[in-house]
Amino acid sequence: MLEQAVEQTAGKPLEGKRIAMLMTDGVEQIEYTSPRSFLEENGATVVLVSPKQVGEAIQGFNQLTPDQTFKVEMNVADARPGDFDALVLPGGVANPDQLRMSKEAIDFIRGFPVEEKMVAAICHGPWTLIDAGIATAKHLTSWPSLKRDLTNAGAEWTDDEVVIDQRLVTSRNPGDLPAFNDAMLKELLVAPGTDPGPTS
Amino acid sequence: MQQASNQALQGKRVAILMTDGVEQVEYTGPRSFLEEQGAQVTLLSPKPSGDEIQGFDHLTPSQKFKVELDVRDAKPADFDALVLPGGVANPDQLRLSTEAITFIREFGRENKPIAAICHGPWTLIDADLVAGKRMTSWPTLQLDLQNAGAQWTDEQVVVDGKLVTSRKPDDIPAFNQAILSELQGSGQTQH
Repeated sequence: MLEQAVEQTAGKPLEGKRIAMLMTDGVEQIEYTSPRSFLEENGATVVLVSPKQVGEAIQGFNQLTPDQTFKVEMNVADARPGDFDALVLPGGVANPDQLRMSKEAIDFIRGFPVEEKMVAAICHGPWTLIDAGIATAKHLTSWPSLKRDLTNAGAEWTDDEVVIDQRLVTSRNPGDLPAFNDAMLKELLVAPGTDPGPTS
Repeated sequence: MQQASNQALQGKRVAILMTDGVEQVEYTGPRSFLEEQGAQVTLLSPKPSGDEIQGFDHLTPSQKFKVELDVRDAKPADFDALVLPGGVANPDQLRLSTEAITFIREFGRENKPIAAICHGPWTLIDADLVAGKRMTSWPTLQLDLQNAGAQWTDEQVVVDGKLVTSRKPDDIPAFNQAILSELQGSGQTQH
């Protein structure tokens, strides 16, 4: 029994890692629940950060249908990139659309690359990267409707299930979640400051 | 005489292009106004005629509206003006419709009035119609419009050439009046 417990702990590569997931109403819920479950199964601590108040409900969507709600665990005004190892940005078109209007949310996002920490964004999630000024000169992907905006902001956009450039991990849609999750795991196992550079 | 002045847009045909996720008041507001002024309004969509479009009141699904003409079957020559309502999910889907973007682009090239409100101006980026234009929109699109070459200002309605833009549902009265002016100004054939 004890040996089994020890083995289980040793089998969790993200033990001790703290991951922030930043989102608000309109989030594509599977792009929140799937990465969260995956990261927690791998031993990470995940915190739902939002411009909404702690304890408030975030309305998740299944495409255009309102579905589950999720409680905010930390207000973004109280969150510091220094307290986390990485940031995950789910999609759902109305979610980043509102985050773009939150100065605190954009400042929080901007802080992660400054500390050479991973930012992972999927679907419409990469939209806020434009406002945070971290799309320029990056190789990335997204939901195809954002291609023109990301390109105009100076990014190199390609149609791949997952793109990794330095510490930025991006994917296109819920179908890419397995590849997105695996890419996050790989990036989180690389210590900050030891990035070998673009890998794709 | 008064009745005649109420029918200022008699004989004008206006296309409203939209799909699921439309902010419904940005459809119903301009449509009612234009019809009261005598215009004939047609709901165009990348969805087939007769299909329903799910309207939203912000994040809450609300009324549904029947498509009157598939955008594939629509020709800009058959209309005097184009209206693009907002609702973030609506233009987000239109951007992925080649037919919708081509329709918008041709409208701009024929120098006919285009009126876009809230998130509606987003598709103008893909239709290559914003470079050098003075315009407004829902504030989240500001950076994308600027990166595409627009001069973005925070006003209830901005008119630059034949392009009319507004920011949000509260701007609808000013938006409607600007569309009216554009349509009255387009009475003569311009060659």
